[in-house]
Amino acid sequence: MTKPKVELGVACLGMQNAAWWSNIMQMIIYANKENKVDITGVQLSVGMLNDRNKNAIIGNSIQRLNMTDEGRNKVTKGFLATDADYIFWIDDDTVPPHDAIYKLLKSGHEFISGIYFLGAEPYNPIAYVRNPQGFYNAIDDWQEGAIMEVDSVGMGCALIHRSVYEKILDQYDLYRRNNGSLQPIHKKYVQKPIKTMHTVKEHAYIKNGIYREQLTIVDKDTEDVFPYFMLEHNRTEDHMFCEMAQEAGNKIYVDTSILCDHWKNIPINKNNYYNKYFKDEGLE
Amino acid sequence: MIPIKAKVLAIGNLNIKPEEGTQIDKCLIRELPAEGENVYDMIYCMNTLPELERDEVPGALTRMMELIRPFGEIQIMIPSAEYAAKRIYKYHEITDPILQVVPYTMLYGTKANPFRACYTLLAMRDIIESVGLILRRTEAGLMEVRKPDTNESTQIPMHVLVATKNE
Repeated sequence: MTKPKVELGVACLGMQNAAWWSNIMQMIIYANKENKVDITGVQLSVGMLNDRNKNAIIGNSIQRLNMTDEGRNKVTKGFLATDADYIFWIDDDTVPPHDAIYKLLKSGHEFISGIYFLGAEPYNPIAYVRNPQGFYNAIDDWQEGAIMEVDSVGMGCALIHRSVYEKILDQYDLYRRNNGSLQPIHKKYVQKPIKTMHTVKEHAYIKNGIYREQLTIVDKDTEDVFPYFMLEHNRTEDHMFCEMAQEAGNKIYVDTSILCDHWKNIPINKNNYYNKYFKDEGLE
Repeated sequence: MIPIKAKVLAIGNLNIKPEEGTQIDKCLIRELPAEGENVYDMIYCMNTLPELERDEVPGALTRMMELIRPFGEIQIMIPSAEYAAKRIYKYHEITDPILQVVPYTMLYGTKANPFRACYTLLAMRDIIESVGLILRRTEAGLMEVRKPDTNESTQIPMHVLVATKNE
């Protein structure tokens, strides 16, 4: 039987903790030893800036190119250029169990993530469901051992089949705003005529509560990097990717038996979550 | 005559309304069909696996694995031991008489169908995977329990584990 080919994808901030490196090695050694997964390579983007203080970096004229979404898009482009079946996203501060890749593969899902926890209280899992208002709530009252469908996950321990990206590429068209920024839009939401140029440039406006803006279609083949991930609307880049993936017909799962450390100054893990949970539930 | 499109095995005391073209066979957990392999497209095993001794469970799951067709689904529903334990620990906060009894029913079953063991989601998953089944997904289920004398009812949280086999 052919072993699934998995490319590792990492958007790096800078220096990594020694525990992280040791874990990466353990994962590769485990995959090699068990002979169940073919780790084909590593797609890396380095020097990512922290999303939260990106505007405070003075004098960095190319700072946009160092942001997490840009890094993830480059990693994705590199992955799609290989013949690997899956990309396993890992952050340079998340430490998954050494058998995480194999366990995620075994589920048979095309988009599945392990669990890691917010680095500060309330230490919620980075896995979310959308509420009726369209906002995201962290999964609540979950049990260890579940493989449950969610609406959004972080990219700290996520296994994604290349078909997820290919479906997005197939079903979305890419548009450019008058200010030069890009916006992928699902083809089913586009009404003709599609413009390649607007002779009169108009400002974006709101009419009857709907935001309207001039967009021109962009040839996807001529673009350097398709924006699967976007730090837009004051959100992290993973939400937008998950929304596009879902819209393109993919389901997103988390496996709550795969519990990662989230390295800050100390590792944040299920102990932090459970301590807070038991306290809140009156079960101390 | 409508051709049979799907064959379903319902294990336990289950009332399933058959859809057109679906054949439903029924049995008890201790009386799984002894003959046949790759027979069923779907197997439901609802709130009955805990009636077995813990060491009997892998054998029953192995038999279900033999009976299910490749890529068919085995749905296993068990009471949430985590929920029951939490309720027992916080018993002093519960005033509803049904809810006072429910956690014990979840852990020990009923007089008619006593349970021999109870399982957390992770413990049941470990057993399912140990026999070679592949866990595809889990869901949070609810089961309605009714008090026979007063007809009062409440819903109890259940774990639903959906497993399959490849070949």
